[in-house]
Amino acid sequence: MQKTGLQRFLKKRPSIWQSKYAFFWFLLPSLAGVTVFVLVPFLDVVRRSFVTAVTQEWTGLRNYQIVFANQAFRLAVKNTVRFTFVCLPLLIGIGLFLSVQLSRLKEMQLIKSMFLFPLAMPAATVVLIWKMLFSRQGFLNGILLKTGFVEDGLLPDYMGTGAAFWVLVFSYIWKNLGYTIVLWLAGIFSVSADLTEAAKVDGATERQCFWRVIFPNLKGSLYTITVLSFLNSFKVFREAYLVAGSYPHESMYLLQHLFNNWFVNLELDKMAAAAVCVGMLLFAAILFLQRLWDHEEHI
Amino acid sequence: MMRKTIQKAAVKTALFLLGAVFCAPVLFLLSGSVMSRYELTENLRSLMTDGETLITWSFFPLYPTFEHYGRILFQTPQFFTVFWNSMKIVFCILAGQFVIAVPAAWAFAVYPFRFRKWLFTLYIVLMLMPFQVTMLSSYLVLDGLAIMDTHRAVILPAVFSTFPVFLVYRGFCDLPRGLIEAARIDGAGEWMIFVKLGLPLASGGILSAAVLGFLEYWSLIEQPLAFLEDQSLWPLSLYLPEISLEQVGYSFVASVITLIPAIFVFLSGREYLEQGIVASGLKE
Amino acid sequence: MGIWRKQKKVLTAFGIFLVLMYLCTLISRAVYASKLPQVTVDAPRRMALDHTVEAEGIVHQGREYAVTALTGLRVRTVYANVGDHVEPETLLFDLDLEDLQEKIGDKELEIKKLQLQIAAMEQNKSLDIQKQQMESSRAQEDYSRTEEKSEEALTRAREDLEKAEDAYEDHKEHPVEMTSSEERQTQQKVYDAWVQKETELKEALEDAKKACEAAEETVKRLEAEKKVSSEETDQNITAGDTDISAEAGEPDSAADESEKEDPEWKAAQEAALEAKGRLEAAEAVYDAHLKEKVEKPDYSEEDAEKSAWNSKKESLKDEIESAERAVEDAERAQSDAILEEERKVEDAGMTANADSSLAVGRLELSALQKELAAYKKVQDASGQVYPEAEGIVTRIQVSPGERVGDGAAFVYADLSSPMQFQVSLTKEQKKYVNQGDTVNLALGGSSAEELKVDYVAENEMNPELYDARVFLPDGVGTIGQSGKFRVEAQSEIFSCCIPVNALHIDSNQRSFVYIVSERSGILGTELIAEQVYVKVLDQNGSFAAVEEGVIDQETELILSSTEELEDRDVVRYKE
Repeated sequence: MQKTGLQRFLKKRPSIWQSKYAFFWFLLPSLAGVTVFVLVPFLDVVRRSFVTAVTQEWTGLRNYQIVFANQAFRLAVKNTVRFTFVCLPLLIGIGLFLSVQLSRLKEMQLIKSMFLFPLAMPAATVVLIWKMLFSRQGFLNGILLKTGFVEDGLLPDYMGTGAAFWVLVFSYIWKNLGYTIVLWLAGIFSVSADLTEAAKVDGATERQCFWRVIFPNLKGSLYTITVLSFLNSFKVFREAYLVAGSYPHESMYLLQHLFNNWFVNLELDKMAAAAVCVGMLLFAAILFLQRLWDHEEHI
Repeated sequence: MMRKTIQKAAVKTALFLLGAVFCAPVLFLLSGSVMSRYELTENLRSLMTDGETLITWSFFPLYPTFEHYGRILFQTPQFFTVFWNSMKIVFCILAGQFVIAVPAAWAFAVYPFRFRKWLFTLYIVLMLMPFQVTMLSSYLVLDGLAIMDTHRAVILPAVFSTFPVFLVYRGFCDLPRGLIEAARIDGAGEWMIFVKLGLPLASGGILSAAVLGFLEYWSLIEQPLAFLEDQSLWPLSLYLPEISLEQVGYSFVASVITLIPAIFVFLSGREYLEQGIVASGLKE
Repeated sequence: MGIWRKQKKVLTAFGIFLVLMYLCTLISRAVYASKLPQVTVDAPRRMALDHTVEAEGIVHQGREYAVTALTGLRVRTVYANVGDHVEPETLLFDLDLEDLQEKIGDKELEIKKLQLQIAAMEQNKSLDIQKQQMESSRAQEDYSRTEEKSEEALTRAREDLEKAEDAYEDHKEHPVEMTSSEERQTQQKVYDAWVQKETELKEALEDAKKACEAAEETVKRLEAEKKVSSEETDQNITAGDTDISAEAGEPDSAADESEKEDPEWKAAQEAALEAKGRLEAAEAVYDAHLKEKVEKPDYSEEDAEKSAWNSKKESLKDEIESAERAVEDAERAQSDAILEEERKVEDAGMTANADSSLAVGRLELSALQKELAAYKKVQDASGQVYPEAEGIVTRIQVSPGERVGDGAAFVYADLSSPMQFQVSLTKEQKKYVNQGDTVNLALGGSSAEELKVDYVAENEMNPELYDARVFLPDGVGTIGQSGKFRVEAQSEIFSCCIPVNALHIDSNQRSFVYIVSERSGILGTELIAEQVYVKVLDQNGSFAAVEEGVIDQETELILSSTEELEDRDVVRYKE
């Protein structure tokens, strides 16, 4: 019997699933979505970074010039960079320290959960508490007053001064410490127990054990934690926005504020140029980090 | 030995305390949500009127009352509108991610195709981009598709997020290769392998992605803020800040109720949460 | 699997939670909706507003007459009462005759007094005229005298002036002779030359003198020397001869010397003589010159004379000036004096101030006489007062024993004129009632009649009220009858009329209404009550006309609601 083309086609179908190109079908939806929603529009963003916002005339690098000369942009970049370079080490360091302490305890799981808890709290919920803690009439001032660190009348509104920056840092650490601890603990425990045992037998103290045996193997974790903490540091915008609005105190003004405001004001040309810049920068940074830890790469 | 025990005990206590401090905000919320209006005003008046005195708090309110709960639960349909909005958004996103991201992770994990490394790096980069950088591009697409100011504007971009791909990928990585090969030899189609073999074994990764995703999207703010104008579409996370300081009790209760699903998810998926975090981390 | 069970527990709890949430959603919606005010709405209508003005009033008399009597007379008896129907024959009241008689007597006395006064005044008047005439002539005399005096003074002054002028002219004609400056210069030059020459000559003389003296000196010297040498010679001779050879010439020389000296000495002598001769010549010349002395030109006298002449000239000029001034003064004095006198004459000529007292007196007299006549008339009528026409007494202003006042004694309504129906209207009502409007009038119990509003005006006593009058046709209505007044007016057609109960007033007395509009919120599009301020153009009991613009035919107006509304309250329609 003559097989119709269709039947032949249908017959052929299973082979598609069996061929090496099957992956394509698995990947397609995601790739398509990513392309449509991110990659293609990003090209348009790049295009927009070279034209004016409304009339779409070609202006070359003018937008970039404007952006770089823009005071707000500089402030935002400065703050964001400052925030990153302050927070990451702090978080990573404190996380490491605490996880080391925890690793020796039985109640590790419970305490770990307690630290993880902040992750479950929605930003909006948290903001209210922050307001109660850190405003001029807040509890922090209350405690400081009681313990005599601060005099009555000198109570600052933490979120309206340069201290706002540290409020953000605190918020960030509070939220992400659990995350970090989990990662560190995983890293610590991934080091084979034999090694530690061997070291202990050799007479190493706990501390030596840690620094000589475990720590060198934590590089991979460090990379991951750094990357993820970096990722999460951008999320601190949520709290900042909810607490202080679109135009917070200078020290809190991050890149995200700037972008948000540009978006609201429809200054799309500046936004495009800045987005391209930041995007490129992040891309480079990540590639760089990747290169640095390349030997840990699995793929 | 004694010293060590004491030391250990001290450390333990310290860590407990720290943990308690970390969980403290919840206590604030709980106690605040049952405080009567009068007490709340008393305690927080300074904050509301920007006065000079400090605010006070009592963790055991003098006149506990459920009036705020009553009001929110029984008299404020607006709350429920936003609540179901949030639910809808989150579940749609999670469902979508399941459909989109899991197969993609499978592709990355199992098939060594040509641009895999390159593409995967791209995915990582995209995963790490803060929203603001891609905000403009998203806006352009959404506007072009004319779905601005609908829930789809928030759901669609999130569905195609690359973070779950990453998480689930880790889960798939642990699959023994031999199993897959064997299945192939047995004549199973790739799809069958995926469904019958891959999914169950990587369920951990998938669930961790779900838990992390839920926690993330339950408090989503930036996207709805930027893309949703119609107030009736707002999620809970945007509604909460709208409650003014005048109605603090209300705000507390809303926060508590907002917390509940998150706590549910947290409690039930805690292990998966950890797994997910670890998976996103370890490269070994 | 233990985990799974725990999972199941948690998941079940979560499920229950969600169900609870769902229930609460429904409950809250129900509660919310039930609490909403329910409203009824309607659209504004296009219509005209009816205004009916109803009022009650009474019938008034049409015209009233007043009956008067002379003021001040005492009333004896009043016969008529208010409300009486009187006729021209009806006696209203009469006056006290005795009192009248007294009054007449008084009046006659007054008249007499006045007449005497008038006579006296007339006399005074003529005396005044005489006085005035005398004053006038006196003033005239003064005037002419002053005129003469001042004229004299003036003439004299003028003569003085002439004299001064003459003297001045005279003086000017005889000036001092003076040498002209040219001549002076020449003279000066001559003099100077002379002086110079003199000096020269003097010097020459001096020189000559000196020369002479020198020459004489020389001579003297030579003589002295001669003496000495001779002495010497003598000595020498005595001294020795050795020197003779040397001095061979000496003795000779002495002699020679003396002889030699002779030429010298001669020369010297000659020179001396010459010199002397020169000297004498010089002297002579000098003397001659001195004789031809040229006087130093001395003009001082001349100058002194001239200056004296000048000063005299000046003084003469001054005199002229003062003379002129004197003339002026005299002239002015004259004109002043004349003016004064003229004025005096005028004053004197003016008649005396207007004095009306005489005329007034006369008028008073005639008035009094008239009054007297009036009294007499009343007396003739025996003090009785009758009305002029038929009518009904409405007011009696007199009472027995009292004096008649200024105004009417009796007022009565003239029955022959038509009646009026009078109503009081408030300002509100007045708006709808205008002159000429058709009014529906129901008098007493009788049926209504269609009449016209004849008169509308503000009430004098109460500016808030207005009087409206309707003139009744003849024969209709009796005085005092009450009736119902109804005017139906229809306003223009308004495009936007709303029921009155939809209209509200806020604390600032501004009118507003509530309309239904939408707002979008978390629950989606909801209906709200929006407060809208409106301007009320017209209003009656059930409707109000509102200015279009803020609301129009399309607006959903809230007529009523189950709860009290505030601006922007969420509402729903009544089921």
